[in-house]
Amino acid sequence: MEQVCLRRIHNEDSHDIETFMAHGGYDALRKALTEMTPEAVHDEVRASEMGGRGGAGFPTAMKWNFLVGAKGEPKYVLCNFDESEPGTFSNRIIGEEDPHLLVEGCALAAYATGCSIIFIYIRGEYFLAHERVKRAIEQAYARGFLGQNVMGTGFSVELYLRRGAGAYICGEETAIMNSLEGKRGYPRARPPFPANEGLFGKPTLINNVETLSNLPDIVLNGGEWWKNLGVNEGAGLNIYCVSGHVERPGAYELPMGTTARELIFDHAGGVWQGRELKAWKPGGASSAILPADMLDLVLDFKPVMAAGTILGTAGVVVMDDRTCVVDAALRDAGFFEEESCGFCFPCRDGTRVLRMLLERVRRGVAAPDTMDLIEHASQDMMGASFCGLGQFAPWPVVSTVRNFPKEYEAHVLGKECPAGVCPMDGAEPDEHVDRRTLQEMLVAQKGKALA
Amino acid sequence: MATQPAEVAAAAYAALARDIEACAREPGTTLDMLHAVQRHFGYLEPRAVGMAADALGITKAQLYGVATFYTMFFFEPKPPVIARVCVNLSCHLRGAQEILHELEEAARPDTFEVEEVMCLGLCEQAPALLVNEEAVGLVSPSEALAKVQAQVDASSDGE
Repeated sequence: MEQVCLRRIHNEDSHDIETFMAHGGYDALRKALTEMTPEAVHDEVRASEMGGRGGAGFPTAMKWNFLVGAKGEPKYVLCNFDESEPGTFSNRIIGEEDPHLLVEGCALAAYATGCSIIFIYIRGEYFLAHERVKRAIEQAYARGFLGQNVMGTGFSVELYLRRGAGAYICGEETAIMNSLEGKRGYPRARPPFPANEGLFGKPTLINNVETLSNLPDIVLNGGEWWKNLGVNEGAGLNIYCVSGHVERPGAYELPMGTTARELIFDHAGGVWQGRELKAWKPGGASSAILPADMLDLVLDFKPVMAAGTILGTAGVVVMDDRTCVVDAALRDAGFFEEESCGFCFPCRDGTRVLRMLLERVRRGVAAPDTMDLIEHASQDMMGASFCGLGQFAPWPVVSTVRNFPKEYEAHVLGKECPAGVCPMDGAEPDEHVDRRTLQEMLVAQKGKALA
Repeated sequence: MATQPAEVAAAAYAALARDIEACAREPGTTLDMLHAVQRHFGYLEPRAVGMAADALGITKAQLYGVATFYTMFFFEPKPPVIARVCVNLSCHLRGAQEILHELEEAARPDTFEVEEVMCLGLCEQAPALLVNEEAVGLVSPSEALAKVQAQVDASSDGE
């Protein structure tokens, strides 16, 4: 089966420039700089119909358009390597095993969009990937693939590698700029959009690691070729990350448009230990928890959105029949409470409210109207949160209420966990929380206090 | 790390000064400077933070304001080994709580500290943890503890 980003990762010393070049590495950059105009590179990306792999699926070529018309110098490429979405690890694998592919992709993006400075912002916890990318950059400079007058073509570009320090929000495209500028990683209002007023106030192109890593093959083989690698109307290939209760967890680079059933059963070996599948998530923590009868969903941006959730980073998490969906939702709720940056209150308080409500469900002390409360709090967060973190944070929770109502009824009304996972001990959660905030929020929504 | 002999501390400040100088030549290196402080002192040692703040042309309070946003920085001395155990969904489904339990039982202030952390991006190796900079995955609780213990032993050998 055709592979693009993960084609070289099993080669010995795949991260070294010698291995990379022995397998066609930097040929695309040479081709672009010597045979193609920036517009021609852009045209191939347009023909590829690639959607950004950071999670939103925004057409890459259109994002590039914004840069071409933007005024201000220098222009920056900012590679978002802050991969922190739970269930997602494809960027890490590229950084660890094929860092030169990313470097080449960054240089191609800079050439096509008229940028002279590249930043790669990698999350702080990726120690090995950081080391490998750092070495790749040094090697690329030494061989003249970066720096002044690249390969004697007159094109010049600088590449800097920067490390984050533990903050999920810094994967958000405006927060990552604040973080890089040496500020707290709060999101910024848009407009102004990064393409006009981005990093250090200059035009900035922000692309994900996987998006950039596809560029060399698009340049070498053409956008049309890449686009036709997809199935079910999907464009190109996509790296699906599979984890949880499967036989073979891992990163699978497959045609965009592969169904969840094919991914989980044909590629990841099916549910582990011969168990039945109970629930799954298509795209990391920010996506819904879906029931088994939705396995034929086509895993592409549009079809997943039509089904009411997001493909996001395509971090698929599989849960077997011993899983309790309340317990699973609580994990995601705890994640978002921890990672909310606290900048806006619907997210800061809402993530805590959802986590507290689930904690009460899990203890068997939830009020009878808890499912309504979750629904209301979720809708408020989706509508009122400042950035995507808070807008998507309720999805794993509210989706379990909608998709698995019987489980909630058993917990809330029957005081029983059908999977036998939750403690259901009747203990009031030992919370260090501002109960007034919670009550005020809920009073405002429901006209009555939390029972 | 907490009570360094004077000459060790002096060498650390000197090494940090060189790192800060290298950072200051490039744009966007605030977090890298803080990482350098932590690399040399094990935590954000106040005088070292002051050196970074001076290089950046901001106050120490401003720099602390930035540093406190990020979970990887420590504000007090730590044991030589930090075990960061992922407790998110993929690891939770494959036994993260058992690992957490095992390590918390064994942790001591002079050997290692356990942190519950959010997704480490090691989901295909779940349950996973970071032992200092080493990624450890697909392990039982006792195997996880052995990995941590090995780093603790290595750190005490180095002293």
